[in-house]
Formats: sequence, C-alpha cells, structure tokens
Amino acid sequence: MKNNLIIAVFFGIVLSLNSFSCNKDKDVDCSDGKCNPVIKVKSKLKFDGLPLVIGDSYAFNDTLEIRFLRVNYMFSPLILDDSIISDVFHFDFTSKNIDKTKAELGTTIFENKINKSSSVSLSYGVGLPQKLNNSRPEDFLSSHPLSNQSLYWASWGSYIFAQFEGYVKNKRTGEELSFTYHTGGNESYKFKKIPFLKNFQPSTTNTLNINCDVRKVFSRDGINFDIMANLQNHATGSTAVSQYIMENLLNAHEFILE
Amino acid sequence: MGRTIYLWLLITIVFTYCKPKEDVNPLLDIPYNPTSYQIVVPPRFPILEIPTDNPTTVEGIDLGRRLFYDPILSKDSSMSCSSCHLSEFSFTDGKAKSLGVDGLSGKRSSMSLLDVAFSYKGLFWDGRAKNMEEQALMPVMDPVELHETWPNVVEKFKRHKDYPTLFRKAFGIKSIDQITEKLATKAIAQFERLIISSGKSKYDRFLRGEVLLDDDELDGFDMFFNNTFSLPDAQCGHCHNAPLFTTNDYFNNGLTSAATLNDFVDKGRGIVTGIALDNGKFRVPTLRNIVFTAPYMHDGSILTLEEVVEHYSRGGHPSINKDPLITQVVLTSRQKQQLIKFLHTLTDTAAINNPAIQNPF
Repeated sequence: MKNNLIIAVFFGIVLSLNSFSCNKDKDVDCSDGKCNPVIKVKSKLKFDGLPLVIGDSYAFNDTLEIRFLRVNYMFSPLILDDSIISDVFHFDFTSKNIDKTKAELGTTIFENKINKSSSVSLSYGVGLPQKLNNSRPEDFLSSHPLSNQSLYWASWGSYIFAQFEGYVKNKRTGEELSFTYHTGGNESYKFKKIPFLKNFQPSTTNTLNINCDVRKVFSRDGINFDIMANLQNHATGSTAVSQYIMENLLNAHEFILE
Repeated sequence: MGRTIYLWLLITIVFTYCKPKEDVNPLLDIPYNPTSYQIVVPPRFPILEIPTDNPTTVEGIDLGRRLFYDPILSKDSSMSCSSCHLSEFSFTDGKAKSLGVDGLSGKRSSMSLLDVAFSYKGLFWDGRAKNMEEQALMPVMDPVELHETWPNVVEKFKRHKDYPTLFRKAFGIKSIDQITEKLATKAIAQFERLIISSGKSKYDRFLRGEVLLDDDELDGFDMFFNNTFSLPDAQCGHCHNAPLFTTNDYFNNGLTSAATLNDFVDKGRGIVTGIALDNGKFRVPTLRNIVFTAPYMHDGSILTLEEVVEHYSRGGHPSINKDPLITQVVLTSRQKQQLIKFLHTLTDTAAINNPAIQNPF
C-alpha cells in the first residue's frame, strides 16, 4: 500500500515535469495572424448617462417627459488608423434595449480579429457616405443591413440614416404627442476622426464600447431641442432639423476600450 | 435432360428469391432529372433568395402546386391551402377570419401570398415561422385550420396513386418511405415562390415611363410617399414602402386601444418574441392587389379601403406602443379618394391570373 502511494507520487511528479517541459519547449505560433487581437464592438444607448430603455420615460426638461419607441441609425464606417473595422453598422436598439439589464449590457455588433496591435486614431461616420448611399436595398442580400426596405426612402433617393421616434408628455397637462425624426440625404452624412491612443492585447478579446447619449442628440450647448415646435422631420427638403440631429449624433458618441 | 431442367429451375428460383428488393421498386424506373426553374423577379424588387437546400425546379413546383390545391392535407379531405388563399382574392379568402375544417374560426384574417417569397423577416401576421418551408408545416397541424397530423398526411401520400412518382421526380426519393413532411413543405414553398408580382401593374408601368398616372392617382402617389410639400403627408409609405408595399416589419397600427401592454386582445408579435413592447404588433401586409384582399387588417375588422383610410387619418386608437407614425392626418375627402385611386394602381391581375399558379385539378 505504502509502495503504491510512493509510485503514484513519483509518476505524478514525472508527468508534471514532463508537461511543464513540453510547454516550455513549445513555441507560440503567431504566424498568419493567429495571435492578432480580437476586437469586439458593443453599442450602448444612454440618456443623460443612464442606460436608455425603449418605452421608459425620461425627463426631457421641467415640463416634458420623453420616451423612445424606435431608435436606430447607420454608423459608417468604423476605422482604426487606416484599418477599416466595418463599412457599415446599423445600430438598432428598438428590440435590444428592452430592459435595464440589456441596455446596460449593450449589443455586440462585431467580433473579429484585427491586424494591428495599437492605434492612434479612430474615424467614424454617422449616416452613409455617398458611395453607399447611392446603392439601394435590392443591391444587397437580406443578411446585409442595407437590404432593409424600411430604411430606404425613395423620395430622397437616400437611406434613412437615423430614426428617433417616440412620445413626449407634458407633465402638467398629461397631453402626449408623438414625435418622429428621420434623417437622410448625402448632405446629412457626418464624419469625424478623433485621437485614440490604445494598445490592443494580443490573443485576447478587446471590447470597444461605442456609447451614444441620446440627450446629446437633442441638445446643444446646454439648450434643448424644441420638440413641441418640431414634432416630425421626414419631409423632402426639411434639412435644418436633419442637419442638427446628425451633427449632434456625431458628437454624442464616446469610445471606450475595455 | 430432366436434371438440366431441374437445375435451371433451381437457379431461376434462387435468383428470383435473392433479387435485391430495390430492383423491383418501380420508383427507381422513374428518372430523377429535375429541371432548374428561374423565377422572374420584377425590376427593382429585392434579391430573391432561394434556400440552398431547396432549389426551385419544374418538378418541385409541379408537386408543390398539387399539394397546395389538394385537400389531402386536411383531416377530412375538405380543405387545402387554397381554401384560404384563393387566386381571385390575391391569395386571401375574402373573409374576416378564416374557418377551418371543423368550422372553427381562426383569430386572424388570411394573409395575401403575393410576393411572399420576399418575406425574409418572418411569416404569418406575427412572424412565428422563420421561412416559407417552416410556414407550410403549421396550417396542417393547426386545429382551426386543416387539423391533421403530418404522419397521417405522409401515409396518405404513400398510398396515393400519383404522389410517390411526383416526390420521386421532384426530390429523387428511392422508396415511398422517404416521403416526408419536410419534402412536402419544400415543394409547397417552391410553388408559393411563384406567386409573385408581374411588374405589370399601372404603378409599375408608370415607374418605367410606360403609362401616366392621372391627376388624382398622382396626388395620391405624392401623399402616399410624401413627395411634395404642397400636399399632406399621408404617412403610408413608412410601413408600406415600395417596391413590395410592405417593409415586412411589425407595427402596432392603432387598430385597437389598450390601457396596458397586457390588454391587447391579440398580442400578436409579442407572443413570438416575448417582448411586452411587441404586444399588439403585426406584420405589415402588402398593398399590392389591395382591392382584392378585403376585409382588411389582421382581424379583418375593416371592410373597405375608405374605412382603412379613415382609420389612419384619425390616428388610430391609443395604446402605449402605438407606432408614433400613426398620428392624425388632416385629409380632405377628395384627398382620401385620391389615395384610394393610387392604391388601385397597385392592382396586378397578371400576377394572380398567371396560369402557372392556378388549380391543376
């Protein structure tokens, strides 16, 4: 019995040493980009810094409460330095941000290896650049976001870049009115390049959170958008509201690498 | 000599007895050589996506067409798919709610099958079927529709004088035991993909510059798609966008009022997704051939196009998740008529009279 125990311990030690030795001898194979970092892109929607839940009410100002029923927009492209991560994302929070937990968690929209270990800048656009906006839904397979017929408006000859829809309620009178803001047209596309000094961890997942605060979409320089005076924007030629929303949308984003 | 005869007899008996079973299977004498079929899609329509495991063939369509019109799929052989999807009603049934084999009423109206091949966001009013092949399974089993079981249907196919041959020609089965519900629904889906717009409606010809719309139709067109500031935005095109005149998305169009999200009589999409905000939402139907598909809405509660336009111009009934696009629209009675006249330009009789999709029996 005692001998058996000694033999078992002996073999255990030998096996451990052998295993350690083998690992030590193995080279890490980083050919063909095997060790490249993985980047996971998550989109999150907020209102005043809090997770925005579709259907929930938020204080817009002293008298108005706002609740969103549909929020989606095109995000094109996403570029780290000169590497395109994606040509186009369609951020659609309508059926994703259905409760606080899901809204806090965000939605993973991309996960893939990237061919770089660091970045110094990040470029992004809201809406679609002209080349993509000149395409039509029938040019794409149904798995592509630009195939969606509900995101194309033939009267504009444009995709709908962003949709913000919901209700505003006057807290004093109880009156509730719907609002719908659709933006589109090549002139509404906005693009920006920002410093993004980051090192990506090899062979592991680096999560890039793209956070959008909708408060900032409807507010500029501390002044709220006059929703009651502009309840709808989806007519041809009504570009002022479209420009306002898209410029704000561009600046409503923050990028955080976990 | 006598010995030789006995020997030959013995050899014959042995060979006859030992002949492999499949060699006597008459199905194998029928050639399996399916002919690929190219469905013609009108210009500017979405890409027609055919599942890789169910390519469209002449033989598959032939089988599917028969199955679509054959009451063999129902419990008492009294109803077929076509009982609720008649070509003259643009593949609806002209009823508010369809009746099944037991005389029981379903809770929703029959949906048009026109351009169903492009329904990539789910089928039925609530989107509970992911694709056409999956959709075709369900009415057979539904107690308020055909109220049959697939094993029974498959047994009926096996005993049928024609179907084993048709399954052989369409799918290359080697024995009747290979007839399955999956193959049957594949064939039905192949056939249903043929129920497609012809591109010959007045609207389509107008887009191609072949005809002009009259003034009323043109005003209706402009209001429908909000093409001009000089006319009201009727807000129709958001959900009924061209070219399909549906986005195939799910909306609460304000048909019924509901104090809370749990108060909808029919929760629709919400039952499928489990998301409360989806309660009371239904898939947007196509407006192509709308003149043939009355009564309207998922519950068939609106009888005429005039009443439909009235419903939307009033902004529908209140509920927490009523779509923000359903809001009061001030239209004159003339403008309402102009909208309806535009809807008539979507009539496509060539599509529903296509000989290839009529009853083969």
